Amino acid sequence: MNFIDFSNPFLQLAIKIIVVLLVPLGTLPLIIHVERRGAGFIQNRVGPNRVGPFGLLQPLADVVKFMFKEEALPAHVRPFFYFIAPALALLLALLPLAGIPFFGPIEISGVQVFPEIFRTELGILYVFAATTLGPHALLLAGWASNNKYTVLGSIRACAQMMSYELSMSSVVVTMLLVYNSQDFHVMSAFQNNTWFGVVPMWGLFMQPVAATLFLVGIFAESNRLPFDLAEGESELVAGYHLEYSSMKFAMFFMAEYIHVIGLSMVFIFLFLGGYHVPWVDLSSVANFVPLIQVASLLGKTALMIWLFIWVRWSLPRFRYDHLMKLGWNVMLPLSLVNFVITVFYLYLV
Amino acid sequence: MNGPQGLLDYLIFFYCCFFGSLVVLRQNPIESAVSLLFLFIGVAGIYFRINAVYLSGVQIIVYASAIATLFIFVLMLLNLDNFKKNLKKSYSTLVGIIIVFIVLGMLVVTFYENSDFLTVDLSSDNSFKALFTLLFEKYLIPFELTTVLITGVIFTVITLNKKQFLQDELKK
Repeated sequence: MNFIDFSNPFLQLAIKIIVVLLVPLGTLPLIIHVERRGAGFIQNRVGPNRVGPFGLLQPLADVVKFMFKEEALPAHVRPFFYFIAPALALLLALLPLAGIPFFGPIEISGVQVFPEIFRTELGILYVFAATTLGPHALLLAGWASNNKYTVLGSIRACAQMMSYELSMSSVVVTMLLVYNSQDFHVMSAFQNNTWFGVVPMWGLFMQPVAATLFLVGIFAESNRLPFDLAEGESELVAGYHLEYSSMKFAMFFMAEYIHVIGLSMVFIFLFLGGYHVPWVDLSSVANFVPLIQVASLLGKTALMIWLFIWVRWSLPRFRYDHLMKLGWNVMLPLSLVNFVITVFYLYLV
Repeated sequence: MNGPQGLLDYLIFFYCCFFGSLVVLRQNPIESAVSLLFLFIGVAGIYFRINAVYLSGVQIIVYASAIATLFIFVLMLLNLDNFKKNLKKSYSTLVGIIIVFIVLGMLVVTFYENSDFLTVDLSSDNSFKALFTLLFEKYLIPFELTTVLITGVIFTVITLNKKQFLQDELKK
């Protein structure tokens, strides 16, 4: 290891970028496979099992299909925005991951190194800012396709995301008050404590209402069932990506899954203890702490994604007015009340 | 921390000027709004370069996500074909470009000249705490007056709209 100088900041940055890009892009085929097989499992059918052992090569076959499929370019689209919209969707989905640490700060050649690509004081605010830019790509895609169904689909998706962002941001502010910091590392360290040595001090146990609100919020924010109103097949065909085919469609698909990964990681840092492992003292295996922490974070993310899949194939879709009513009449007041109660509690204690 | 620090700063300025002029020059309102979105992100970059980290985050969350989305959203709901015809080429374009450059210049000059009143030392433990101590102690009255002003503006807009709406209803 001596011939590579790991204290070089540019080398560190390059390694971080490559690793952080590989995590979502590498696990994406696996997630899609698990989603299909899980759907089959939940609905008591088989799912894709023909390509390779257990159908594991099905995502690869899909990629090949997407690559070589003919790219249909409708005549009525607005070309420039039509072409940049999928790229923007993927970019905006990947941006939040730049601010998320996969393990705690480590020391290399006596210098403290942070695992985030974009290490600023903003911490979770940066991740939240990058996440809330998401609707723009959908709006652009829907508008650039120049088709009334895509425009309606994108407007619906965007209205839904904006409505739920309000309660989500109130929840984030509440949790910032609880942890008294916006830094992911501080949040994780805080949640590493336990009550009476048994119950870990996770956000989930301290703020169950906030956790529920945020969980519902990330389902709505990522346009997944039961909130996938942007893709009401019966009235909107496929929503904002109706006019896209082959790899461009696949990019929207990937963006949606990466969005789910990013939001799940934010949820884990806010409510499920971040990269820490509860009840285990890691000081005896100090050299492997980063690896264990990465495994902990990715394992929790895998559980979250399984929850997404589970909910998707178990719950029916909402009606649009019910969705808006839930967002504005239930979740927003509840999150504000929760915020006020937390402020008073923290002020008095 | 006075003045541009290097190539990156000039690139951000060029980026802001480019998208700022596109906001005025594009005929299509949605293209203008999208340029406005990129301009907001560039302004966040300027804030970031002068170490106003919190402000840059808020610029993205409030302006680039919420307000730009609302603009694009509302423009999509309007009938754009009628809107386009009314937009004549006139002095307004020229005046608009000049105003964009003046406002951007004012922004840059203001923040570079007075950067110390918003910037907080990044090496300190918690620059957010320092910033909010400043905001809620030294500048408390202007800060609260601004919120009163914004609330007043919102009430005014709603009242005016309702008045128009009521008059329309009465005419029927």
